[in-house]
Amino acid sequence: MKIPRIANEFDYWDMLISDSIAQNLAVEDQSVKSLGAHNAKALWVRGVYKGSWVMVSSQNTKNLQDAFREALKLGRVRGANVHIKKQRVKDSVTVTPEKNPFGEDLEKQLKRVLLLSKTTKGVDKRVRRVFATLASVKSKNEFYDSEGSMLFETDYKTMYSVSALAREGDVMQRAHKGDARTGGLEVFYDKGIVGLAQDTVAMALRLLHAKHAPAKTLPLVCDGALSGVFFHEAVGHACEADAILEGASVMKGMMGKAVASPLVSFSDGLVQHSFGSYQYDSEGVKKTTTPLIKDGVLTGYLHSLDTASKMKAEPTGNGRSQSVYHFPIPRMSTSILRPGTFTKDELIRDIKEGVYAAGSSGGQVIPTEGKFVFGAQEAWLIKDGEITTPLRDVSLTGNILKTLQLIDGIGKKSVLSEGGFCGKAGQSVPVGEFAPHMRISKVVVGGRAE
Amino acid sequence: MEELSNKIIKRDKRNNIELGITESTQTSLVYEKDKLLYPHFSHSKRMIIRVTLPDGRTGVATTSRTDTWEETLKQATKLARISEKDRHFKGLPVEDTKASVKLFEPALLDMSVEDLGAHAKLMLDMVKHAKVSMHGLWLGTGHHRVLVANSNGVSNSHIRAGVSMSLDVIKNNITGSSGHMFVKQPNPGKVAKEAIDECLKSQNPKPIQTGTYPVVLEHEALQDVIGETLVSALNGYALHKGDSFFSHKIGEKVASPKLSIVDDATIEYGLGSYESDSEGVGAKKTVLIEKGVLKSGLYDYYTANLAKRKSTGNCSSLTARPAIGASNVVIARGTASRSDIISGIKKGVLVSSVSGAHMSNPVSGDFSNELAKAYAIENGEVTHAISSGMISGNVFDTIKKINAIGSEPIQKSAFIAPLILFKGMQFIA
Repeated sequence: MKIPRIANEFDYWDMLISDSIAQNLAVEDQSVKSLGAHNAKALWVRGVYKGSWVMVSSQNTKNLQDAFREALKLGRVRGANVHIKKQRVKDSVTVTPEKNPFGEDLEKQLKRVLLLSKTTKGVDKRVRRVFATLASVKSKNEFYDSEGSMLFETDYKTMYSVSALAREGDVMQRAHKGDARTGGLEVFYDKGIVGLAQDTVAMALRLLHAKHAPAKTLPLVCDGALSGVFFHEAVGHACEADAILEGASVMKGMMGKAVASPLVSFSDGLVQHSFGSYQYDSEGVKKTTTPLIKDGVLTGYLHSLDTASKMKAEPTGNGRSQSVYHFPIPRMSTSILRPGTFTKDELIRDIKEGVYAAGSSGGQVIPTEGKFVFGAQEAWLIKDGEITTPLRDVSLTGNILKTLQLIDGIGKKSVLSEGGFCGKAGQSVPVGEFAPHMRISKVVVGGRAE
Repeated sequence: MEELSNKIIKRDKRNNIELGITESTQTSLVYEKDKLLYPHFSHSKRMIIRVTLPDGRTGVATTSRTDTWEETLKQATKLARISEKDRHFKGLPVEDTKASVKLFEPALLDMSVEDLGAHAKLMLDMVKHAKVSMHGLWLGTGHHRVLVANSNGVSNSHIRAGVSMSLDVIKNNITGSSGHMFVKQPNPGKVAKEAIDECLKSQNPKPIQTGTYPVVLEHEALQDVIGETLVSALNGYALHKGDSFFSHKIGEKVASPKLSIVDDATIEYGLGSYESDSEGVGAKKTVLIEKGVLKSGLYDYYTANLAKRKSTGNCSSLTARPAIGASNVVIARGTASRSDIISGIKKGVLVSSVSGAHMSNPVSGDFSNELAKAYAIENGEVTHAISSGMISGNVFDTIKKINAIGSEPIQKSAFIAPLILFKGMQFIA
């Protein structure tokens, strides 16, 4: 790679060239709704010019001179001071899928998605409509910087989903199952179609007869998928260093202090196959596991080059961007909650009245106010230590720091949850969670009185 | 662009070819508190080709490299061949009257990074003067050019330009925010004033008791709680397939007679306006609900054929068939002024915005939303901010229980609506 001489004008610069191909299949019942192939190649040139950042993104990857020149022009407006200290890295990393989605016959992939749809529809006659999708992305990134770094990374991600719309009289409910992981077609092919179809339909049918949740404060037991999302939303985001710099985090000024029940140890790091896993972040910094909470005490924040420079900390490999059209900011990779000692039954058996919630239907935090709200895909009422009536449209809300102190039990066994995309500041990046069951002694359950 | 498009369309005369090319440039400034984090310039291009064989088999390919379009066309055709036949496919749209809609003031095309800097400075000064703190600021200006063409001779292109600004301020850990896209004269002062006002009136929040109250939903809350679910229930495909709550209810009363909603892509300077949709069908105005009676859904060309109706010009993308989206959703104004509505409430809740809008269930209509900015109304006056709580109910029940619709519509996005007072909604503290 020949870097134009104009690059010497910058105190620091980096360049990311991304070349990706993707394909997606979507079917509704037995008809194909979309069948697409996509490719894109573009770059960013980013630099520190006279002490502050400038950035240019373009799909013209041939004319580097132009990109650097545009970047210099942006230096006419002055920004905040940064000083980037970085180690040179030279590496080449490749994720090798077991079944290459771009090598495997697309027709065969389509047949399997159609089979999934047909099987799901056949489970019960109340299933009115089935949607199923399969998508894969291969991305090849090249990274260079003023320190002489050179990185080549090849990555594969695959995601599938099936959703069933069930109707009984005037009541309609939709259930959704799926997964997204780093890897190839094995992510989908290794999953049994019949089991997946039955699980999805069973959920839709349960929801048809589910009752509205009682609107009150109750003890809550969540499965691993939901505890993972809770920690991602309520704790992980609050530990992102840009939120600390903006003063938009309940974790500001809490380093070394007890922020959670002593049962809690939480980190951001590497879990094989997780949708959120990577070896180097978008800024060419190696990702290692970053402990955030140890035995209830706050021990770390997640940094990009920019926030590490401003807070005089070491970058943690969390500077991620959605694409070369986005500036890298601190983002999580895989949120890891350390397992505890309880079985699921032990967590539930001494609850007189409470809620058992499984899976996440999204979540949100208001960081400055320290509030969280998240939705459960499915939930049940716990009565006298037993899981009883199914509930629907359950949302859970509370104050982050208060709720973290109320965690009074953590399960023994972690699960890698369905991967997904996390949105922040207009950027969406793949993330994952690896967490066990947990119990919170009091959470506001949203629903409505009947 | 037109030349390239002609070449592509003419290459394959047997099959149905549709083409979309978008080219965009944008300059933006991103702030962290009161400091500029970085200026950004970007240029992007994307081409999408959809090939449909005469028997309805369809494939789509996209690329950022328009110079290798032959490869992209081949790929789309290859995908079409392995796809399934579709007997509902009845061809592509033909030349339609393209609406002539003013989308922006041409002066906006010349905005420079320094101009944006000047707008930012004005906002920073106002924030400083109001003794609140900066929390976040984003400004962007740019334009994109879109071309839509197909083998039936449709070829439409248009340019859009605008200046967007969004500002968050904070005081005592309480935020205030505002965001606008300007397609006429940019008004940074308005954005700053709205954010500062919201921050100041949200200070010293207090709880109120759980109960059923009259609830006023303002623009943003109305869009998140009611608007999005209604738009998804009005999707013509869901209507036709029986998957919508509104299926088989056209001509029936579904809402309070006070409620009328139209989808109108032809509004001058509307933020959701366009001259032709993604399939090249001309922009239209469609009455969706009139005085509480369901009149029509939203249709793209394919779904319109399926339902034996006419396309309402609401195709949102070439990537899937069908792909239906709203343009400007307009709730017709009522007769009561904002102050009349509020002064008539003895004890109620005014909701400006909610968080977790995605927690609602568009199929059943059930919602349960955490309040982001909400205020107590007591004896006809807005008295204080509410510290926290949720509202819950069912959209399809709620729209039958409208007490009053405001007379002052607000256009902040592609959703244009006045405030609405609902009779009784459950509030959970």
